[in-house]
Amino acid sequence: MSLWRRWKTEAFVFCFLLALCVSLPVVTVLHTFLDWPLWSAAAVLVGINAAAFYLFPYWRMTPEDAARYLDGKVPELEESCVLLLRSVAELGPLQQWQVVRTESGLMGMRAPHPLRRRLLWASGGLGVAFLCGMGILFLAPGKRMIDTDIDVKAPPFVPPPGIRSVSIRVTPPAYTGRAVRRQEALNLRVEEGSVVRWEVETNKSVEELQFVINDSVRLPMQAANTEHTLWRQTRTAMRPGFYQLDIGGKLSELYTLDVIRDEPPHITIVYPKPYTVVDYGQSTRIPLGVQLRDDYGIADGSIVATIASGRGEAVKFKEQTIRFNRSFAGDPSSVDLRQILDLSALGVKPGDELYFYCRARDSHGQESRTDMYIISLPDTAQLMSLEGMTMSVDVKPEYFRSERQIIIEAEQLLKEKDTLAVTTLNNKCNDLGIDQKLLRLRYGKFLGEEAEEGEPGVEGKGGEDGRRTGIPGAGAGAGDAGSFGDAAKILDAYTDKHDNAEDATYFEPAVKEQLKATLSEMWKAELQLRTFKPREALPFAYKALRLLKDLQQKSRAYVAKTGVRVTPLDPAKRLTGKLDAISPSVQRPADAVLPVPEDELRIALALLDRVGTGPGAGGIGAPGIMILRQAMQRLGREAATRPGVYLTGYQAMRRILGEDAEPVLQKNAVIGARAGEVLAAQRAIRQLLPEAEKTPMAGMTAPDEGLSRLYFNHINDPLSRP
Amino acid sequence: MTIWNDIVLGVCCILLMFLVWGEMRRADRRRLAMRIVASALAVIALACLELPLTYMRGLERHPLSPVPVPGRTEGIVSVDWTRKPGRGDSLRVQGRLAQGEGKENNEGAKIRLLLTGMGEVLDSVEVPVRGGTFALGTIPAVIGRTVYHLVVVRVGSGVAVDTLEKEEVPVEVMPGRPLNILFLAASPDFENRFLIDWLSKGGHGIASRTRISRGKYDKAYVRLPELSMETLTSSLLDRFDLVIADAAELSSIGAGELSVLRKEVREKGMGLIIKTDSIGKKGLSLDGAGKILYTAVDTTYSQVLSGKERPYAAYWSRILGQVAREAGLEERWRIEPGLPGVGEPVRVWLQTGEGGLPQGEIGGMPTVRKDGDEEGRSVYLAEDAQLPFFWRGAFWPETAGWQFSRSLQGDTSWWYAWPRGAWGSLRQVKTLRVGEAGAGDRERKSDARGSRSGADGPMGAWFYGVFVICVLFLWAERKWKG
Repeated sequence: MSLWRRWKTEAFVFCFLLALCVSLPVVTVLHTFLDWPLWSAAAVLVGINAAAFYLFPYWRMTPEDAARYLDGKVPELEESCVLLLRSVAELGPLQQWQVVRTESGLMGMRAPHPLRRRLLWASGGLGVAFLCGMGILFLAPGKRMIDTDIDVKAPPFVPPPGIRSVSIRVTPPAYTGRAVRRQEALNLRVEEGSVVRWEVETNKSVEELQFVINDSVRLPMQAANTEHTLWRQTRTAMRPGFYQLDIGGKLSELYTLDVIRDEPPHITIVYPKPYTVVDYGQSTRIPLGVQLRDDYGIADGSIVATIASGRGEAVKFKEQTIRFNRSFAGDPSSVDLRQILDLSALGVKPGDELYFYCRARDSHGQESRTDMYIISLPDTAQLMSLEGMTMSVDVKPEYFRSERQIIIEAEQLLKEKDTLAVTTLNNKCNDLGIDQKLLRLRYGKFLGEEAEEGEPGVEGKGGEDGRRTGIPGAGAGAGDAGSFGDAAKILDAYTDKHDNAEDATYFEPAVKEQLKATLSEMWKAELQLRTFKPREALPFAYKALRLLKDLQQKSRAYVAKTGVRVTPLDPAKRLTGKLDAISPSVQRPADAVLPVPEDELRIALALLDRVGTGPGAGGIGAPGIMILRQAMQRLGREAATRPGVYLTGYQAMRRILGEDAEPVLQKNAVIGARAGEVLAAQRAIRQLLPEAEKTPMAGMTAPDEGLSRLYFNHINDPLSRP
Repeated sequence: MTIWNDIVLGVCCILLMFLVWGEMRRADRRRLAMRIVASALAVIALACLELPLTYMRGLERHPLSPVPVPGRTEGIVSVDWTRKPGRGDSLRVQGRLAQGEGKENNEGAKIRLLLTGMGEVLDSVEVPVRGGTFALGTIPAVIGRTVYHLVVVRVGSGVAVDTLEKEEVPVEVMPGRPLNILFLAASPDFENRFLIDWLSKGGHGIASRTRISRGKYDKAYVRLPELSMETLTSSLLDRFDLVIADAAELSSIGAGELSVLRKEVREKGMGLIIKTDSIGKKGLSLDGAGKILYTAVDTTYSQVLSGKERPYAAYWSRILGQVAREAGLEERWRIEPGLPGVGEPVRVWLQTGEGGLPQGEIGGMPTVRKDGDEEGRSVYLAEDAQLPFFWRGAFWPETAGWQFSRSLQGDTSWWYAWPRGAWGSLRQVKTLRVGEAGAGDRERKSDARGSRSGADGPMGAWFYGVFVICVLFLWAERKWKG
């Protein structure tokens, strides 16, 4: 039995070795050339292991198999090994005796190792596979070489000297829904409004520990214990920047304090299109697909729909808010909405338009909205009607009769009064009334009046109208004895009321007053005509005509001819052309400094190339150091607003210029800086610079002691000609 | 040639052995050592007379194929780039890449060339494995000297496999000299206004004179002192590289002033841009030493208004740069070869307008003195026989990197020396060409002298003398005995 167990284990080990030896080179190749991640090795190993178990099923052997194998291999067992596996009760006396014999043979024999050779083979194969893998890694160095050349890797975080440990607790604001987290590194990237709590433990007791924020603001830390080794500070991160630690007068490196701003929700209307026309026969149930995305969570969203009905001046708007058909419980960060806009339920009739936009509010309370989308439902009723076809052909084209025409016809009617039947007369009179009405409506449009309703309080207003139509002074003077000294009334006559909604048309208030008076006259004329009293209608009609004529004249400017004589010009005084007394100005636009700041950064970029010990190394004179220093200051300013982009470069620049260590550069020595630092500084400066713009550059002539000039000047001399 | 050498050497060895053996066998043992030495010297001299021991020895020792096979040379076999672009000019690197034979079978593999600078890949191009021409470009962000890199990478199935070559591409971006420009206008217009704004941002000096009435002008100055501009005088115009004037304004100024202007253009090389309403005359014309340009385009400012400042800058940079007065250089240094290397001779030419004996100073990797100045080695220059303003000298760069050269009076001019082994394939091709030329030379020489080859000139005479003395000694020694 023990033998069987050992063999079984050996079979497993064999399969595993086999799998390992195939998968090792395979994984190496996949990882090196196809950039597979290393964890894929496990999957490959398991797969090949399974294949090995299937192909070499030694592990499936039973104790019987083992006994049979032993029988075949070891003659001393006399082919009775199987008997050993049975229980003593099953065996007959002869068999029992044989068992004893076999057992003694089994004790004395050297156990065979059926899988030993295979195991040796597999181990050898593993060795070869290992060598293959190493060879592949060695043969494929090309990719690595470029990577190391181009990339500047961020070094791992090391706490500044004098600090034993740092523990920072970042509590993101509630709206983000993020958990409180801790970190050891001093470089921070936190959500806007997060509460950051630093806990710094120093090696030994220090007098004072301060934060220096953006190279300017100092923020002392509070000691948490009496030994002055544990310090705490809490601050809410609102603006990005960088900071460093001042440990008893010694400044640490710079650390980023990057702030992730909360973006407003992003809304995309997938369908319908920005302008949709629903033609006759199409469904008025419009599907609406909206995607809402936010970096933390969406608290609310809705559709704001406005129905515009009517045409021309008589457009009415009705606004309503439609809720989305799902709740925003739990502030999901991404929502896909499907909803049906039922136009008929919303009350959109043919000829109306529906304007809508979607708005969403995130958990931080920031709101955003989409553009306006329009769904138009054209009015097809006129197209569908057969009115024009069914009616008789003897229809006069519709036109407005002028007030003058109405008067002429009314007078004609009065003349024919006696010859006509009463019903005909009444009909004609009524027709004239209808014409009068149409004319009134037409002029009413200029005032923004609605078509149908009559003139409420016409009579009451009439007196006032009449008064105000005339000259304001006269109106104010007549019948206003009681209100003498009323400042408001006097002011009223002379002030211009911009904010009066009624006056918000093209016309001046005075013109509108007169137009209103005209309309009320027309209304009265119509009233008389409709009640079959053409004679009584005429005075009103005439008055309306007069007012209209008056109105027309008002829009024309008229200057009467006058006989004014101008005094003749004195030619002795004027048009002499003497300009002695005139002195034109001299303009001097603020001179731009030279070189322009952008160029200084460019020069700094080239100077950085010479920093260090590369092939282009060389000295940088004092002016060069000035330029580098200015570039550093510029980077510092940028780093205060965008530390994530510029702080690495700023820090590298500080180190190159020896700001943190002893000032090496002051002695004009060649600076030894690491290539990575130079690259980081250059990269940051390059990000500041726009693409270089062309500038006019004059050509250069070669120096030649004036020989060419001499030749040029004498080229046409007679002597030079042959 | 080699077979002839072997024959000569073989025959001489046999001859030497025979002679020594003869001397040893003689009964008379007196002066044996001297006799052996004499015979040996004689044979060596004879051999040297036959062997081509000339200045071409170095090449002989490494026998060259007389026919250059650039196809066999892998890598960049020719290259050139804008060595000194102006600000905003693009740097273009062009060349040809050759690849060895038998590599075409490598399916899917490609050669990618990268132009890198300051840790970033600025441009890249792919070349088929069998080789081809390439062109890479970028607009340098720097002003001053910098070194870009040209990297040749073999690419297999989209991934960079192997870096084949990495070469330095040094570039010096010239900041450009600010121009002084005079505007003469008959009436104010937008074109001038925008142009003055743009130029003043670029650091140029500007004076503008706009006519208001007869004898009355509106004047504006940028980076220039207030000048008296009522009348155009020669001393006023000397200050300017370029005059931009309206045709209307030119027609209204006096004939005297006009002739001053023309004289300035013709004799002193000042540039003149005349803005006309319609093009009657052709665009750019040479007038004496200067240039005159007629333009009817007067709405370029609309490009600035529509935000296309880059085309506007390119347009005016080209026009103003072409027409402006050319500046005279104090001195100009020329370096040969194009890709100087460390430890290789570099021929230098100095072209100078200064009289007297110029003294050159060249150095690389300068050690900074206390005053922040560089120190180089003196190079003594010889005057050219025909052109007195040409001086030539030689220099061996000791360190790789930027090298400066200057005379005692002049400005510093920079060039670059590559380390040993840089541009390997290109140098190989060049060496092959030299070898070809050398082989051609030798063939021509041997044609002229018949089939004979070997040491000639003073060297040959020496060997001949040694041979004669030795042979005479051996002959006399034998006679003496008798």
